[in-house]
Parts: sequence; structure tokens; C-alpha cells
Amino acid sequence: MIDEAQALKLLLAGWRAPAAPDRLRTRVVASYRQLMSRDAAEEGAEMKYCPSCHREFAPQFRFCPLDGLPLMAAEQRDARAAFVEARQLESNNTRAAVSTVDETIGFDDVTTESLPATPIVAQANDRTRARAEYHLTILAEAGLIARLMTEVRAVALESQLTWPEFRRDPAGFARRTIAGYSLLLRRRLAQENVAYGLVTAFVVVLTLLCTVVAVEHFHRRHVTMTADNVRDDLDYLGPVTVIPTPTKAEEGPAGMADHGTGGGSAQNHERPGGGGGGGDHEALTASNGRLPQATLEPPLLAPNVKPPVIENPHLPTPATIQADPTLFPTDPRPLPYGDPKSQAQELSNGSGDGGGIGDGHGGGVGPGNGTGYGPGEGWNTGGGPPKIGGGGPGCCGGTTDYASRIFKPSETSKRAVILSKPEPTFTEEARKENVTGEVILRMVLASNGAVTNIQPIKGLPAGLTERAIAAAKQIQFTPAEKDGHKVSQYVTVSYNFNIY
Amino acid sequence: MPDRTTDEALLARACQGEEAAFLALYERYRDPIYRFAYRLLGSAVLAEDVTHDCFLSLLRRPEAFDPTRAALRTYLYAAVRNLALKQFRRPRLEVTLDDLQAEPPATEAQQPLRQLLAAELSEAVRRAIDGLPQLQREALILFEYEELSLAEIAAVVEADVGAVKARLARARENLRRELAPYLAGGTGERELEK
Repeated sequence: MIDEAQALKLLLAGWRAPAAPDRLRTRVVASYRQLMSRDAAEEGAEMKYCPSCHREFAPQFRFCPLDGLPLMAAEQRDARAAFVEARQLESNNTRAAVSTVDETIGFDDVTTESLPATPIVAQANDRTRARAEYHLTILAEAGLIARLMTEVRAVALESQLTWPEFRRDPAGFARRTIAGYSLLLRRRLAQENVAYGLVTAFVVVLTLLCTVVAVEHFHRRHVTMTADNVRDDLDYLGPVTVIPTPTKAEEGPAGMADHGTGGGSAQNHERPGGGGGGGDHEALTASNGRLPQATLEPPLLAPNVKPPVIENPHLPTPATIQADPTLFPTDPRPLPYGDPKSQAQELSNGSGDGGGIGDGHGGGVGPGNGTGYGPGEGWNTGGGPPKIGGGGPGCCGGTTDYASRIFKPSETSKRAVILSKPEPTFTEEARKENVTGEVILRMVLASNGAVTNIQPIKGLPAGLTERAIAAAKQIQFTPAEKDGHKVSQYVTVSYNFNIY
Repeated sequence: MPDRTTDEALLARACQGEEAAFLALYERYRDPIYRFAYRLLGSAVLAEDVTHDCFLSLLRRPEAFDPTRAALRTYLYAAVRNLALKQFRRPRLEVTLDDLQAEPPATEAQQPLRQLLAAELSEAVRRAIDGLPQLQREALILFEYEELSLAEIAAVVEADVGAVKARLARARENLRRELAPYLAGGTGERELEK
């Protein structure tokens, strides 16, 4: 019987791995030979040394990453050491006089003659000699672009050379760089008159800066005083802001809220419906005034422009109209009740009947039929059958100018019906020139039965557009209606001119 | 006659440029190193790269190998493990057709049905081991396939013996769960017999 551990071992033995392929041997051997040949080549090459920091570098490096100086071979370093020793022995007296000269510069000036002129040494000599020359001006002979390119090339070259060193030991590289620059700075500051020069420059710049600040301060104070002297009569009230221009509230479907585009208290935007009207069989039209409080409950007392005076009523009952209160906020004006749309000033309940104010019927206000306000039936406002709208307060609906406003077909409750549309005739000129096509006109079918505002949208030459306009003027139609009123409506009419 | 030269002597001679010594060293360890790399990485191409780099790193930094700490075999396993971890950090390569062709061919003695079952079993085991966590997988491969001792495995994975034991136990437990259908009927062999 095989236990579970052995079974698992047997299972695992089922996964066999392949043997190493022969090509791997060839590849490894090739890499081994290459590695050995490179090592041999590197062993034969000499290490290089920095003449300044005396560090040792691999043969492929040309410049010291710390000092930026060209590296030199071992024999050059030995020659340099011999030179320094000889110089110390021979010129102890003169050394004090020339102690301010950079040691490297002095060495390189001499090695130009004493050492073999290898390219690296020659290049170093050129650089150091150029550095040692004294110029009366900071302007060099080379152009700006040339000098810039030289610097860029130098930076690129040094980056390329120092990158392997940085990648090998970033922390050490940073440490050595900081140490190198610190040493360089100390050397510079240790030179004669450098510290004095720096302090003098600092003092001069600081003095200049303080002078500029003082002059600026004095100038600002002087200007302020001058301004104060010129206009003593002016007081500063605050920054000028843009005065907002009063904008007319966008017209909503109905209501007297003077703001909003909604249609009532329901959540979803919906157009309200309904209306009301009233009157007391008076000869005068209903007078202008404020509307009573709107409520959705049926009114207990209809509004009256001349309410009877009741002394100490047992149950004070205000007059109301049955409409959505969202559309009719309380009117605080100290006016008698009336129709806000009316122009009449003499108090009158209007020619309607059933109580209320206006020319309609039923206990409301306006020309409609019901206990609401405006054209329409039942209650509420907005025209047509009564319905609660939604979307918040609306405005201006009660003051729609049915007579002068031109409606789009979609805004009307009943569109205009064209009864006859005479066809235009061809002009002789168009017939000769075989002009055919379509003329499209936009026009207004006015509430008074006339065709007005005819505008060609697409015309034809040879007098055909004029013929189409003339034909359009003869259109007969039934005007569109909105809320029971005849209104003007835009229509677009096309005329085809074809020669068969 | 087997080569009795020690690994250290061969390595020293190889570092001095003696190609024969390097080849002897390579032949001595190429198969276990390649197999270990293959099982760790699941790719013949990557296993070749890792094996190549492993032997070359031995020559580039011979001072990194300390004979007093571990045998050369253990050192090579540790080097493969480190190189494989580097490979894992890179985006995984797709398995190429070369990889599939590098799979061990079936012997002639195996019948077609038996070959099919063996291939399926091998694939199931490979998938189960491949699904193990890295630490468990390397411990299991070194123990079950390379037959290293617990102490040697601990030296390779740089952990103590107790941790290696725990990883092995968890790896076996996971494998039992993954390979339960093959273990349920008795043994894998019995499964194959069916």
C-alpha cells in the first residue's frame, strides 16, 4: 500500500525537465573566450591618474570626474612628481612670489617642453594655458554660439565619462563630487584678494539694492501724498464692480411669480392647465389690481374689487382663487383686488358672471371659466382643462400677448389651417431661360387673417421669387389658436417651378 | 574514469584562462543547473539565459564564491535563484514554439495512450507547481527534484532550516489539494495504469 506522501512523490516525478541543449554549451564557451580575451587586454593596459586628486582610474577614462582634468599615464605622473621635487629644491625663494599661481598651471606650463606631447597632455596644456592667460575683458574672441557649443560638448563628454562611475557607486560619487567642489571653493577663496573681492562685490550689490528699495519707497510715498493733495473732496468707497443689468425673467408657461420657468409645485417639469373668470355684470371692464391668495382648495369667498365692509366678523374669511400657490406668491401691494392684466383703473368687477373679477364665468379672475386665473377652464391657470404643473415657479404666463406675439407651430394649441394656396405663374424670362426649381418662403399667418413677414429662404432668379411672394400673399387660412385666442404663427411654404 | 579534480581547483584554473577546466566545470553542473532554472522559470529559453549567466558570473566575480561557506553546487543554485528572481521581476515572456519543442520527447517504448496520459499528468504537475508561491516552489524543486538536503536548501534560499521545512510542508499541502483528482484513485502510477 502506497501512502499519500509516496503517491505525491510519484506524481511529482511525472514532470520531467529537458536536458541542457548543446547550443548552450557553444554559447557559454564563446562567452568564456570573449571574457578571457578582454581580461587579458585590460591587464595589459595601464591605469591612469588624476594630476589633481591623485585618484586612479581605468584606462578607458580620459578625464577625472571630480576635477575635470585630463587623466595621465603612470610615467607622466612620475615625471610630474620629479618635477615638483626639483621645483621645491630649486625655487624656494621664488616660490613665495609666485605662490598665488595655481600649481597645476605652473606644472603644465613647464611640461609643455619637458614631457612628450601626447594628445591628452597637449589638450590639457591648451586648456590650462588658456585659463592662465589674462584678459582685460570678459568678452572672448569666439562667438556666443561657438562658446555655448563648446560648453555643451564639454558637459556632454564629462557626463558620458562620469556616468559609469556614478552608476557603480552613486552615493560615493556624490560624496566625492561634493568634496571636490568644496576643495575647489576653498582653493579659490584662499587665493589672494578673492575674499576681499567677494566681500566688496557683496557690499556693493547690497548697497545698490538698498538704494533701489529706498528710492521706490520714497517715490511711492510722494505719489500718495500728491494724490491726496489733488482731490481732497473724494472719498474712497470701495472697488468699482460691474453693475448688473436687470434682466427680464425668462417666460414660463404661467404664473405671476416673476421668476422661474417652471409650471407648478409638482416635481417633474410639466405645463399647468386651467383658468378662471368671473364678473358681476358690470358695464366697465374689470379693473387692475392684485390677485387674492392662491390656494388649491375651492374658494369660500370669490374676490371682489369692492368687498362689503363687515364690522367685527365672527369668522374672517379671505377671498381666494383656486390655483397653484407656487405660481402665485402673495402680492403685498396695498391695492384692491383686480385683474393684473387689465389697464382699467376704475374699480369694476367686470362684465362676467358668477362672482369674481373679469369677463368670464365662475368666481375666479380673468376671461376664463372657473375659479382659477386667466383663460382656461375649471381652476388653476395656463389655459385649457385644469391641471397641476410642475418644475417650480413660473412667470409671465398670465400676461401672454396673444395679439402681437408670433408663435411657433409647436407653441400653439391649434395650428393654422391653410384653406387655399394659389400657385404662382412663370415669368416670361424664366420660361426663356428654362429656370426651374423650388422657392421656399417663411411667413407669418397673422391672427387677423393676413399673410405678413414673407421672407425667402431659398429663391430662384428671373423673377420667380417675386412671383412666389405674390402668390403667398393670396393664401387664405384659419389663424392658429392658443388658449382660446387667435394668434399669429410662423409657417414655411414651398413653391415648385417646373416646366413640363 | 571520473574527474576527481575539485571544483575549487577547476574554477581557479578556469579563471586563469584554461578552457578545459571551465568545460569540465560546465559539464559537471550544466544539467542540474539548467533543470533547476527550467523548473523555476517554466521556459527553456529563459533557462538557457539563466544558465549561461550563472556560469559567466562565476568567472566575472570568482571572489564571490567562498568554498568555506558552501559547495560550488550550492553556490550555483543560489546564483540561478537570484537570476531567476530578476527574470520574474521583468515582464513574463510568451512561451514560444521552441519552448514546446524543448520538452523531453517521449520514449519509443511508451504507447500513444500512455504518452497522452503522461503528458497530461506532467502538465498538471507543472501547473500545480507553477501555481505555488515563489518561496514554496523553489524549496520544493530543490528538495524533490534536485534532491538537496534541508541545510543546502537553507543556504541557497538564505533562510534557516525551520523555514525551509515549513515552506516544504505548505507546498506539499497545496500540491495535495491541487492534485487531488490524481491522488484520489490511489497513486499517479495507478492513474496511469488505468
